[in-house]
Amino acid sequence: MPTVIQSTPAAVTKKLTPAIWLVILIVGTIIASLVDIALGSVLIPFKEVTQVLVGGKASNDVWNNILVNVRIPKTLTALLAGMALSVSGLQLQTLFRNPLAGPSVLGISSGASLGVAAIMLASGQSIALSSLWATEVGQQWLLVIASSVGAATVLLVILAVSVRVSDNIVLLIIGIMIGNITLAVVSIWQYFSQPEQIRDFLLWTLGSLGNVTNGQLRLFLLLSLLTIIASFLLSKNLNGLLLGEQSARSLGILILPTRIGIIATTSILVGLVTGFCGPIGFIGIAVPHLVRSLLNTSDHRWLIPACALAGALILIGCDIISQWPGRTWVLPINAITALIGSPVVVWVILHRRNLSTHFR
Amino acid sequence: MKPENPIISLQKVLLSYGKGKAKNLLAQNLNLTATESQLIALVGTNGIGKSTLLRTIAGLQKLQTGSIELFGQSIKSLNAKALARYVSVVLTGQEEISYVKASELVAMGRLPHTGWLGNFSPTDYEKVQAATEQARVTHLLEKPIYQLSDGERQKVMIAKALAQDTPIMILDEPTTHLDIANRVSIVQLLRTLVRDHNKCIIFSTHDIELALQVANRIWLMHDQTVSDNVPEDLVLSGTLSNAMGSELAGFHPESGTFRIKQPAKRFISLEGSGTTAQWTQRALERVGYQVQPDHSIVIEIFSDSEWIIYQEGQIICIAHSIEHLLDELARIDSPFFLPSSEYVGNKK
Amino acid sequence: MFLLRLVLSRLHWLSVSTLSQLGWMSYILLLIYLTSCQHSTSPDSILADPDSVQDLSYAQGFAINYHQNTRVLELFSTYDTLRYLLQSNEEEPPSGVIYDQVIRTPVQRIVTQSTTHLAFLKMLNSADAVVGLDNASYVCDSTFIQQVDSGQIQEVGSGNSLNTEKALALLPDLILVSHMPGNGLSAYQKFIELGIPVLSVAEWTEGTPLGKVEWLKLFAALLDKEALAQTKFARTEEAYTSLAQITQAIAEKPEVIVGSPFQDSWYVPGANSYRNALLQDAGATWAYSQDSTAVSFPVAFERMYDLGLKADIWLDPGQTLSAKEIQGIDPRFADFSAFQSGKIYNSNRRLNALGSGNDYYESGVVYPQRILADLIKILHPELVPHHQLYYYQQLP
Repeated sequence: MPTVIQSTPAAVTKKLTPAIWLVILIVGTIIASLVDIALGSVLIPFKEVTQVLVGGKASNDVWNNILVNVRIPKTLTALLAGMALSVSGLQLQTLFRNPLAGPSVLGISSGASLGVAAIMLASGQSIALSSLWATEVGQQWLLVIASSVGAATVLLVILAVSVRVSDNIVLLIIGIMIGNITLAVVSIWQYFSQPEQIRDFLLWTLGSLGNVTNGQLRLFLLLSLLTIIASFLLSKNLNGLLLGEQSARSLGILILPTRIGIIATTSILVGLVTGFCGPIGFIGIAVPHLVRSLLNTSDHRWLIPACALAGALILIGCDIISQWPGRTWVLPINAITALIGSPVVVWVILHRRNLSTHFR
Repeated sequence: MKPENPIISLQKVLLSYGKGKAKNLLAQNLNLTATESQLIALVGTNGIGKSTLLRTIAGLQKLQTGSIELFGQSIKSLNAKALARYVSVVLTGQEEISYVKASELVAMGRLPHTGWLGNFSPTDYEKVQAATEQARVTHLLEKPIYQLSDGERQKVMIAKALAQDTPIMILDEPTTHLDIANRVSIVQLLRTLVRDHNKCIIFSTHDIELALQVANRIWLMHDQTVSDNVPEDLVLSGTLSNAMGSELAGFHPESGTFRIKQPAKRFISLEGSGTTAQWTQRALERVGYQVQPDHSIVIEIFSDSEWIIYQEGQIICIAHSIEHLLDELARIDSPFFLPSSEYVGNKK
Repeated sequence: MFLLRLVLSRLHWLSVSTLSQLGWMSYILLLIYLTSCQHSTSPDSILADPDSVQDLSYAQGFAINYHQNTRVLELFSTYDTLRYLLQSNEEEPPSGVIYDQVIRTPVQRIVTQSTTHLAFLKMLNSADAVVGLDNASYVCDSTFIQQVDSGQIQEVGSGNSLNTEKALALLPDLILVSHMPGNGLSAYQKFIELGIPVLSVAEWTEGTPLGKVEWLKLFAALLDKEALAQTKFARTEEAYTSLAQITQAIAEKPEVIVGSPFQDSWYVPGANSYRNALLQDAGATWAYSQDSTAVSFPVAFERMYDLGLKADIWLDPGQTLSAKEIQGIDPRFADFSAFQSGKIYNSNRRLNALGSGNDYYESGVVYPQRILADLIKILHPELVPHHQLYYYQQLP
């Protein structure tokens, strides 16, 4: 009987049950959120931070404004975005049976970007669109809808291909190609646009957690929580998918509604994040691996909440790193997620050898 | 004799695979039944459609023509969950993602019985426990699938089907890739389930010899139809040999095995009986002799470990093992042989 | 408990089989929004007739309407008009007015996102109204550099890297940005939510140099210095037009080639660009002076190459500082007639100490007459014998 040599940390972590991990993650997320709110370019004493957090006011208007209108929304955005990205990444990895699946790798974020580009660069063409774009609420909704539709379109294309192509690697390549196609379309579009429109769009592609208004945040909060709950409700079906479609069918799991459910929830989640924060990569692909490895289970009833919390924790951590107190410039969030996310993926692959065979 | 109270009933079923122009007819006008407490082995040559038949009965493949009834209900009228409570399947090919732990895999057998989120009740835990023990996979539970051997994986899959606790179990080649010990243990498990739990189990296999020993009935797929018989009838009627035999191998009713037909180049006579005679004959046939009476070279089995070779009535040599025997025969049968004087003597 | 399970199982079914309809619902909502919400372009009833309007001869991107107790600043774009209410500190905004943002005048704590803004403010003697700017390495004017060094002005970054916290800590009463008009100020919503007005100065959309500098009057309205702006603008207008008149009579207009390629495309100024206006006013022949496809558009290299072989003078060849550098970029440039005669002039004579800020884009915007004088000196040196090149230099 073959045995796999487990390194000591794994042996230790395997003893912790998923429930304990959830508690650890909840506590970690709370601490990280506090740290993220307390840190920033302007030095604000921690006492003031706690005062505002419990509902009071800071002794200084500037500090109050910064905390209430800049930092707390930004942390909340990081929390929601981290949740949304990692839950969608987990679902994609189960649906496509691919360890490298994720919103950015499969070109789904690019699809969302294309949706946003369509709206941003072409909003001049349609009076209705442009007048809608000019209003705050209209802009939010347009952005989210365009983003989600773009994400869903790419997802559907890849899914249609996956029905015929069972090879994971081929699917991945197709996803990357689709991502390239959408980027190419956007470049061509940019070519014919005015430089200022291009600049605005390019800025958007860098990704930013700090540009979500309070109104947008309400929408983000509501939709993302609802969708994550919906994903949680799909846990049983997702678990069934782990067995392969034939076996899942024989256990009474309906494949088509499951797929529709996954596509819908993933598109909305990716659409939300991409629309409000721009494309943010690596969280969707790295966090599920980390969580699976720590919790030592493949049961989605545990994995989905754990991924949500871990994603939130990690993205908040990236946000903390991206802004050293006292610096003028804020590092782009995508650079940090790449720096943190890539080693995690590498670590997981090394820790668990033959990762691709695990997904066969 | 038609069994009463069939729990599986196929009527005028047409099996095919492929779509449109490439449609291939596998079998038509099938009328089959199965009852409780039956172990049915589905046999047939490769590619004849065994898997298709099994998957159609399990409801995994759509039935175009004809009807299938399970417990008196048409398969088309059953929704997926209801069907899953009647039939559990163990399929070939590895479809599952292999980082899943064995315990989680077995637990999935309860999916048709659990609620919307898949939470377990005490009954569910009991069933999983019982299934694990029955399939003897308790020691494998904490391992992910990729750490299991083929045989172990197969048993885990069977445990899952057991946990599903269905009156009908369908297994597609459960014993392929397994060594003889595993094969036997799985087949024994199936027998126990049929006998003690009244399950109806249909399994396909290439191991006809084993099937003939354990199955209540054999479904032999051949010539676009399925013959449903008790195993011994199938053998004695010659149907099995005709359907499964080929120019290269024939079914040997006496031994219940397939024997390779070697074109015989030389002839030899054999005197003796019992196990030694049987195996001597096998060895001779293997090297290309056909045993016939009244031939110039005669092998007499003197005892369990002594063979006397006669040629033209004269003792040529005495061999003490089959290998020795075959070596001597090779020497004798060469054109340059002259009888040695050592053993010259007359056969009594 | 059973009821809860029933409800939850229903929810599950609902979520699994009807989630895709969420997308449809969004579209329906969108349709309802589009059809029910009329975007208002009609002015409010109370302020229908302004008492007077700001006199603008050249600028087309904005308008200022003077009413009894308030002023309305309108910023125009292809899609939309943004309306800012300019109120002094004591007065309340009149009720029933439709506006997008309120600016309390005179503004005293400005955060800028472009060096052009600094030039406008300097011209109106309001350099001390600036408390924050994007990046000090782009600034040419020594006053502002000093103020940054002394800590009076803080750097806050620009665009996506705009450090909202730092900007807020400066307690600004106005943020000046340089965005595409009508493209939404979504990146600056945080400020708007907190009641800090954000205004996009789009002087760069003007098609004439005087139109650009006339935005001085917008700045004046913000600073309550309208009279000063009138005077300064009048003087600038006078200087510019008198220079422009000199070249009208000239028959011989040298052919010029403008710009340099950027990633295989050569972006050139079209008929409606201010660069073209300058060229025409300076008495040059520019191949695309009639082409109104866009303000600036890409032309294939071979077309420009063909032009370059014949053009007498080469203006603004990118960021280069010498002919050798130009040749280094692409050896084919050496074939250009202007290259061979040495008549290459670049508008980078006035770079700041770091080399990253170009005064052409800073003070050049408010002193178009100097640019014009430079161009005339290059094209028709005999017409302005006493003028020394200010923004332009001949590349060695």
